[in-house]
Amino acid sequence: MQPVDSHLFLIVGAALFSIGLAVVLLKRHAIVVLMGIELMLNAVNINLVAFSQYDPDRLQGQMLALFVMVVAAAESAVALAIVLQVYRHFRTAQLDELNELKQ
Amino acid sequence: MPVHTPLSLSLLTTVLLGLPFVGFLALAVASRRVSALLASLITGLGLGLSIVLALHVPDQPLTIQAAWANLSGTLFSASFRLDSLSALMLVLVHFVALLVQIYSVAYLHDEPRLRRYFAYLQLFVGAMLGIVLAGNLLVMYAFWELVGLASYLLIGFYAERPAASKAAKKAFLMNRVGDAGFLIGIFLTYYFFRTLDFSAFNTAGAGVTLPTVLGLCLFMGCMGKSAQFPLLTWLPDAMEGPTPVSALLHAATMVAAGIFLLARIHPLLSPDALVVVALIGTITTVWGGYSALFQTDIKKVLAFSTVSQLGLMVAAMGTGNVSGAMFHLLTHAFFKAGLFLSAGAVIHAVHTQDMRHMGGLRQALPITFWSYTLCAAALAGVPFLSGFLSKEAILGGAFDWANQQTSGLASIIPILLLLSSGLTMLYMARQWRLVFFGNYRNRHISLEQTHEPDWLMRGPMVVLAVLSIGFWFSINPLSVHGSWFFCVLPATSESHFWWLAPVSIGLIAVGGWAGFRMKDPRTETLAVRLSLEYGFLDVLFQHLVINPTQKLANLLSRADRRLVDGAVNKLGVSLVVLAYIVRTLDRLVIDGIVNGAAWLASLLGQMTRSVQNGRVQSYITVTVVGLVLVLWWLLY
Repeated sequence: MQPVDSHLFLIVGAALFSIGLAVVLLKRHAIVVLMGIELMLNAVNINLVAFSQYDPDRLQGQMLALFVMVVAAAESAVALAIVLQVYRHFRTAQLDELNELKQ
Repeated sequence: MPVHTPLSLSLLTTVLLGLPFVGFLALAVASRRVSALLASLITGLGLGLSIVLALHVPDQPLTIQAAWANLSGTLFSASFRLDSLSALMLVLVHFVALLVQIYSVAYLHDEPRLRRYFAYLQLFVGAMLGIVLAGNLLVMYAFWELVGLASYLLIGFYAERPAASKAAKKAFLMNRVGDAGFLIGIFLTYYFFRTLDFSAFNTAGAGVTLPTVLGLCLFMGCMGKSAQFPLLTWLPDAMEGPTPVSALLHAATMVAAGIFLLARIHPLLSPDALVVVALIGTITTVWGGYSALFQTDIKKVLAFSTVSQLGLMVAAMGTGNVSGAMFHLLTHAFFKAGLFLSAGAVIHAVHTQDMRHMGGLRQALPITFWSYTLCAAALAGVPFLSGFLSKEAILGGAFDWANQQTSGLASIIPILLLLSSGLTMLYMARQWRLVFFGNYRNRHISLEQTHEPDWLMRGPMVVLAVLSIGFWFSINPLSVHGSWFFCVLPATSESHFWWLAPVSIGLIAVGGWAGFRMKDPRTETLAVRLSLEYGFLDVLFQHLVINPTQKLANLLSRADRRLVDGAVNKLGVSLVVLAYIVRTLDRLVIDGIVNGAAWLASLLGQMTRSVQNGRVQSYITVTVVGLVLVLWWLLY
């Protein structure tokens, strides 16, 4: 199989990361922000998989991507639980209304 | 008779001098009831001691010396001297003081400040004793000032009366004028003779031409204390004091000091100075006599008669007749004290000093009348009384002196003195008539209410009146020669003028007749005002001394306000301006820095606070931007 030019993967990864970051920074709803985080994690995964082609024997990149998916699943479970608790407590999940940290 | 060693005499003298001062202190703590008794006892004891001293006066003057101050090798000693002159004065001062104090017990029985009064009297007597016993000019000056102080306290005794405190101040200040001259005289004496001791003066003056200015300066002291022209105006004002004080002041303690001083310093007076002394004395005699002529206050007439008699004594001193002057001082002390005490009795009876509200008191107050008459006649120089003798001694000395002068003008002095004794008779007869004869003119107290004072007041009056009789001084009632007095103090002139006694008797008769018949003028002519205001001396002083002084003071005050205050104000204004500038600067720069710092801090706070806004996303933004920057910095 003819390897695809790795810089295309990197571009997709970077685009995906940027979109995720933009979502994290700009979206107001906590769930959407979590989705942004997932996008960023997946952008990282793409990078990991892309660079994995230079290590065909051990495929460390792909292994690490699998780890990331597992950790991301755990992370989103915990985060969703926190968001649920926050919603119960504050009756909202809009991040710009949650400024308890100010105090 | 026990033999008195100089030691016991000096002990006695010291005790005598100390007594009044101890009395002064004791009276300050004694109770009011015993104060009069205590004071009289002390003075009585002093009188006894001084009689003992007078009987045992040594031929050589006794001196007591103690070191006082040692100034760069020159020893100034506190020395006291007892000779016949001071012994005579000792007895006189104590005698008059004793009588005055006995009299005061009754006269001032309502006075609440009796204790203070007697204490002051003791101080007065003590100061006078100091003058009498002083052995050198320095000690004399110290006691001289003390007499001034005591007289100030006593003249102003009724301090609640403005006139009394004013009179006290006037007496004190006028005396200061004389004292200033006296002090300069003392300095000059030391400068010329290197000594201030009286005992050295007799020899110091011999064979040297005496500086006239020295004698005149010393005479200034006498002018102040003995109320000589022109410093005589304090004496009539001093009548504001209690009447017994006037008696003491005029007889023994104050005005006698000046005469005594002249007797002590007589060897230091140059011939020119003596002429000035005689002239001043004569002017004072005439001036005082004329001023007494139209006075309406009973005590003021007596005051001016004192001025006049003091002038007579000073004139006698000026004509070299020391013993005559001292003799007149002695006789004058008795009859003048008697006059004042009798005047006090009259005032006590009618409660006024204005002679226009008296009259006809002859029957109501017989004892006062007779003692007054005797004393007044003695003052006027009526024959058979003491005043005749002493005036004859003075006038005889004066004519003798005039004969020895080269200038014929010198005889003006004795002639004026002679005329002034006629003048004395004139005003005394007028006063005698106004007080004791004619109709009773007081509307406030009826003649029946007036009564003789009690025996405590009558006694001293009678004693003094009896002592005014010439017999006690000379066996021959018409001549003073052969008097015991001139055995004590040798007379300077022995010449006798046969025509003197008849002429003076004639003058006295004329003066007495005129004075008794004299009607007081209804209108105030210039002549009357000249007498009432004693030759406008006070007006003269007002224009000559007081007004210029006040003008100078005003000028200085204005200068002070303009220059000093102006400078101070300018300085103040400039300081205020400076303060404004500083304040502005302060507000702009210092406050600006502080406020700027605060503003900066608050700005930084705002900035940091705005970062800490509690929004998670902004934190993340910052983190991301920071991460990007760190990466940027790491990679490039």
